[in-house]
Amino acid sequence: MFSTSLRAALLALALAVCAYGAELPRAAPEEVGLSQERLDRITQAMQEDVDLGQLAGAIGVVSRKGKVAYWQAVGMADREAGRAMADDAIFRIYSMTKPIVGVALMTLYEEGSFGLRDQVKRFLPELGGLKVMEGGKEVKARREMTVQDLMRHTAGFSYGGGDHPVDKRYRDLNVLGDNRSVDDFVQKLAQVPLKFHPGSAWFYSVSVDVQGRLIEVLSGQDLATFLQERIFGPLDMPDTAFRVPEEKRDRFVQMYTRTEDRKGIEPSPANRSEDYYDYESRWYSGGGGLVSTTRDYLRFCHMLLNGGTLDGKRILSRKTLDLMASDHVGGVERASGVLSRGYGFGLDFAVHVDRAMSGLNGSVGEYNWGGLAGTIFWIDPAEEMIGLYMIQSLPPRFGDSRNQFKRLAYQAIVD
Amino acid sequence: MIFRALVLALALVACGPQADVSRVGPSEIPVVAPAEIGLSQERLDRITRAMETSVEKGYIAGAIGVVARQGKIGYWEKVGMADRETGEAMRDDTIFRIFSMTKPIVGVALMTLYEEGRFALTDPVKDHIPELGGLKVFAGGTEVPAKREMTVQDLMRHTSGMTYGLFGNSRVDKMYTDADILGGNESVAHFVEKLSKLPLKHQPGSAWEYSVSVDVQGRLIEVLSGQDLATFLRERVFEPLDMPDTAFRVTPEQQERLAQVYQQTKDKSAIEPAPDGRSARYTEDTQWYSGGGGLVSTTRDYLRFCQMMLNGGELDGARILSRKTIELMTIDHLGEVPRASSISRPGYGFGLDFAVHLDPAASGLNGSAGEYNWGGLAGTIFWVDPAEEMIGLYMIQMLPPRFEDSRNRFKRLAYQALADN
Repeated sequence: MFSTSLRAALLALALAVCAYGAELPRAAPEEVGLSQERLDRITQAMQEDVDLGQLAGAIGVVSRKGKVAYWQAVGMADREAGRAMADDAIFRIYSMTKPIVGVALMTLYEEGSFGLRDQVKRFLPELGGLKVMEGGKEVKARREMTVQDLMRHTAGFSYGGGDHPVDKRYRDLNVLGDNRSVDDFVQKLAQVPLKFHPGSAWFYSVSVDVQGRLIEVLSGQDLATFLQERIFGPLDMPDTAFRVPEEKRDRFVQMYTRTEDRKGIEPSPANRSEDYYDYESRWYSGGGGLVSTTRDYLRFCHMLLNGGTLDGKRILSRKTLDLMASDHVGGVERASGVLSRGYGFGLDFAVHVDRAMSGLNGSVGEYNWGGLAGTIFWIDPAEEMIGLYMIQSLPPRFGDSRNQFKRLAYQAIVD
Repeated sequence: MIFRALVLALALVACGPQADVSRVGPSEIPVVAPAEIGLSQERLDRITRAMETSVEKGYIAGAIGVVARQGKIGYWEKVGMADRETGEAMRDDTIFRIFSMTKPIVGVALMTLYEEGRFALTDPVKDHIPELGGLKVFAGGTEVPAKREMTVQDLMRHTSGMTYGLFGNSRVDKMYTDADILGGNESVAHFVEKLSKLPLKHQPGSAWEYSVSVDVQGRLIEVLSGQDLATFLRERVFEPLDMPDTAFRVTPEQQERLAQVYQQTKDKSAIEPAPDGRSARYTEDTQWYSGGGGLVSTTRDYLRFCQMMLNGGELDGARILSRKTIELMTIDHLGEVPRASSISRPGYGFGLDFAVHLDPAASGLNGSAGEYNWGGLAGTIFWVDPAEEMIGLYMIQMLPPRFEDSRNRFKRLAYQALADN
């Protein structure tokens, strides 16, 4: 279908984009059931957001059948410094840290270190016997939280963002700030009552930071080392880490947010860049502390779509991924708006269960998550599809460009 | 090009595609022997006999029935008259008022804009049509605020809270008929302006009620595209799919092919031509295009639309929608939402401008779960069955109340003709 020279050019482009070892294979869109013309709509939409001054820059990627068929960077990584968005730009992925930590934790599950129904206090005794704040007073929890509760956000913890007295305690203690280690964080958390009885409600929380501590306790390694050895090393993800070294800082993308007058965007003071430069601290936020590149995170996604393996490196068994990507919160009340309509929640992934509820032209069984700065990814086993969208824009953002990216990626399927 | 034109000319001259395969040009859906696509000729003949019986008994003037499978036509029969009084026989290229079979076409056209990122199904309608924001709901004799704004999804699955007027007798239905909501409009915008002055019958999302919401979709298309609905449909659907006889207006040249519409006589013993007023809308010189029911079409044209749907959004290389969007349109979007309208049938849910068969036990139909369909006021129906790779299309021109339910019988008989295992 494509001329030899075009193929050669594509290959050269692929090599230039990813100057590493064994790279993910690329394909012309038509080879994997996608339409180039329809994929171009994604580029147009991203470019329009940049042209309207609603986004500084973005990278969008669509893979199908194990091959990268669309990879497009638009706009700037740092508008003020005049630095264009580059394929190897480093992004704060915030909550897209969570699925990585979940996968890492499950490598220990696969070694028999714990069961999902195990009580968390068995490994982290300070989190045993926590009280629940109910009607203004602290009551005994109906049951102990389990590892499964941590992974599906039913532990009873919070993020500290609401008006509830428990949320106020999170803020007073600065639960996720000023920590020197993951253990420090857990010690603070242990002083705060739960917001819900374990298992009674889905509520987005710091429970993935607790998973990080669980990894440390079970493995005897710090979280950064463990992730490096279990995930980033085997999957060849050299730019994914809790810290950004000096020599990579010129690839770090500027963070943006909407201006107060809603007319444009401006650099956000909430870069939290000091967290990424502090090599003294051993505080690694399993819930949101990683930076990564499009290439690195795409490799993680391909490992997931492949059923736990990439380039001969097996991270997890297919059966464990099946377990992680099934809905674990069927009849559980959703007490937080973070989980989109039409989605259930597995183990550190949201799972698409109802397209009529979501209004999305996707597939049931697709699983995903996103980050505070607007990054998203999804894995669609039915369509053998991966989508990855990388921006650095804190809320409040303009519009809904990440959902738009997803709808446009799906409409490009033409087989 | 010349060869193509020749074959097309041949195709137009010949009739009865089942009998004469030579009418099939390069761009036509091929006609094959039924057995080649898992249909029984003997069993298909039961359809013909049933249609002929309906004509002989004077229940209908004429009809065309089509059954396609696996991308090929296995049955195409016409019986009776297009116009009994003038002696015009039913022809393969007879033009029919398809009324509500306009809706799926408008839905598909709207979703081409979804695929360009122009809107999300969860968008409040008022984001695009501000005058439909802040509508009140008529409840308990008074107007109360809506609990939420209607969304585009609500428009497409008939849960917007709006109604039709003519199918109900509530206060709000009366307000619709008093306002002559679908009549006397100069443009689609004019219709929306009238609509925005009426309260909703239901809280958005709370009930399935067949309504003018597809006419609102027509306006949404105009607003999002900057084109009038007729032009947009032509450019996005009719031209790519080669549907030259599908339009909101009938040209003078087409007039002789337009079938007569019939209705039951008062004494219910026979049929008679419906009053001419019914047809004025097809020649009027306005910008009012009813997205809910304004189109005319032919059997061939509409079959092409159906085949595009069954193919997952594409026909003869013309891609209208992605397969994923077709999937989204043809799953049930209602779940447990109460049905407030008798137009809803047991065993069926509703997707985006299509009804969806969910439960053959509840419907009592020998069809498939996942089959999707709709019909028109004058008795036309179509269905698309992905599981059986089947399309059915039945074209008549007979207003309610119709004698007997010949269209449901057509569907049952079409399904019993499946003879592969």
